[in-house]
Amino acid sequence: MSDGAGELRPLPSILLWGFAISCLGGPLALLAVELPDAVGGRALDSIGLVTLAGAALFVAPMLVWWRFSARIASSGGLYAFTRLAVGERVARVQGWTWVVSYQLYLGFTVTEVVYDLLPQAFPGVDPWRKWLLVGVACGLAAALVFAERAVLWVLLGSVIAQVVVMVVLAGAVLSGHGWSWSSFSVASHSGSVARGIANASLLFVCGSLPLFLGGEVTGGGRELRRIVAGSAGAVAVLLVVTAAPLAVYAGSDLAGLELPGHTVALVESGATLARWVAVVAIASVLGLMAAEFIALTRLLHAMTGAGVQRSARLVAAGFVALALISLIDPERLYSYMITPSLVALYVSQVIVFGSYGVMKLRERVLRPSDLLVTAVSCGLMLFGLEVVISQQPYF
Amino acid sequence: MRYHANIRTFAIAAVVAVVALGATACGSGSSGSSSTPAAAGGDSTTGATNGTLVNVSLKEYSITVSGTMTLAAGTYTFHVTNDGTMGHNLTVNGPGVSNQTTGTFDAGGTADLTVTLKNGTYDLYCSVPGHKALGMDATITVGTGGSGGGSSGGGSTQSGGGWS
Repeated sequence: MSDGAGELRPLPSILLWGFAISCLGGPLALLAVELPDAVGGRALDSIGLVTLAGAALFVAPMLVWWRFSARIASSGGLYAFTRLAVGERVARVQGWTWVVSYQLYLGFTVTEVVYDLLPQAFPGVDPWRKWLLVGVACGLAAALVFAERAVLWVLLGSVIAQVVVMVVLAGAVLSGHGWSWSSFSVASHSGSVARGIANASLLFVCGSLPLFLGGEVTGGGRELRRIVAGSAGAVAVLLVVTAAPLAVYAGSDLAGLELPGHTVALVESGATLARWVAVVAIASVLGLMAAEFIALTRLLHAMTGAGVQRSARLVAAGFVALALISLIDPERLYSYMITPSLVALYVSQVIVFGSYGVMKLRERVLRPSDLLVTAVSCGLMLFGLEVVISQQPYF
Repeated sequence: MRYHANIRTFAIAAVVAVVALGATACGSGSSGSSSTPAAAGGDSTTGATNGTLVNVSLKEYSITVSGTMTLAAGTYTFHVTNDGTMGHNLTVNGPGVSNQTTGTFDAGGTADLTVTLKNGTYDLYCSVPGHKALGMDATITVGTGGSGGGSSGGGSTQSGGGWS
């Protein structure tokens, strides 16, 4: 952890690899928790194609981040990009919107972990869930405030474990059913497949988190860009290969389950692998939360000038406060927090991608490819907004 | 020589028949239900088929019950066919029937399960780990508006929470 003056210690690139891969899902949580739901039950028979196309579609937003990071690599991340492109005022709107989004995300995700995911692996935890909610929130916050560097090493270990579990899980499905290229074709429901592709693409939206560590990674912006691109590519390939076999579950209720990977492991292998999938998937979600927490501290440091340590305490206080508030009615407040969080996320990203187009226009170098990546990126975020608003729980 | 071979074949068949009858009797002993799994590929309709016949098809991952999903109270024999590619079973749970099962049998096989149903709601599911969560779960109602177990005509498929 940086000292109270806000100085950033040099970050070995190996730790940024772990951090960057954790941000992409990540990635076991993508496979075992999020992806089947994002793809949807009607497009499950095309899950290989949907995942591949979703990853390919996300090349557009990645390209914007990539090009921005060639100009500036700092703790400000996306806020710094926006400031560079369109000035301080819009950048502050973008930055604070992003802070609201991720602060709320931390609050409801800890509820998801304790109330939805943990009982899948440990059904006996039900009576203890409120205590666990407080314990997980306080424990994670304390670890990130007082031992951030250790947490980064744990993230690296978690990533290795996730890759192993993903390969074993996919291997278990393949050993029972074999490889089928039909997962990469559109058998029917082309509308559902198209929607699944956009949904799957949005799962990579947290891939911007490593950009907030641009001010401290050893090797600077060049190393940052190498790791961001490399981790995204590696995770995309791994996810496509391990998700494609799940097409055998077409017609089942897999997409509607809380922890689909757990059920798949139960069917294909047995209780032992299922338990491992659940435990490592939970670690995967907690790892993503840790990455978000760290990125938030860097952004607050960049926007307010506060030391990183002080920023971490602020984020921790907000996180624990939200967790305590959610104790009033955890499952209801979960659904009430997720909507404003995602709306803020997509709005903040639209500002970043729109700023890129504006910057190129102002510099009089707006090529067709710039226009295309701007349009695709903004369109994807607007699709995300449409999904969130149409599913909001308030009315 | 041929005479002795026939005698031996008859003796083996008789032993198999006695063992099969014994197994059926054990299955129907104490709970008011009986189950008769058949070998994979078999088309067994033997065993206790003393109730109204209801045909059930199992596959990955749905349960299809022929006819109506609303039955009158009475004794039913579920004639279960595994139309899938892996082992499945039919398990019934509800008033007076506590998780009675055909036992898991292989793809292509059939099994019978006889149960006495009272007024109420019964859960029909496959108890192989994970299969119920994936959709091998159906509900039948006994009592209100019951019209007897349908065994022919248009089938009803209930997979998870929806009809298809």
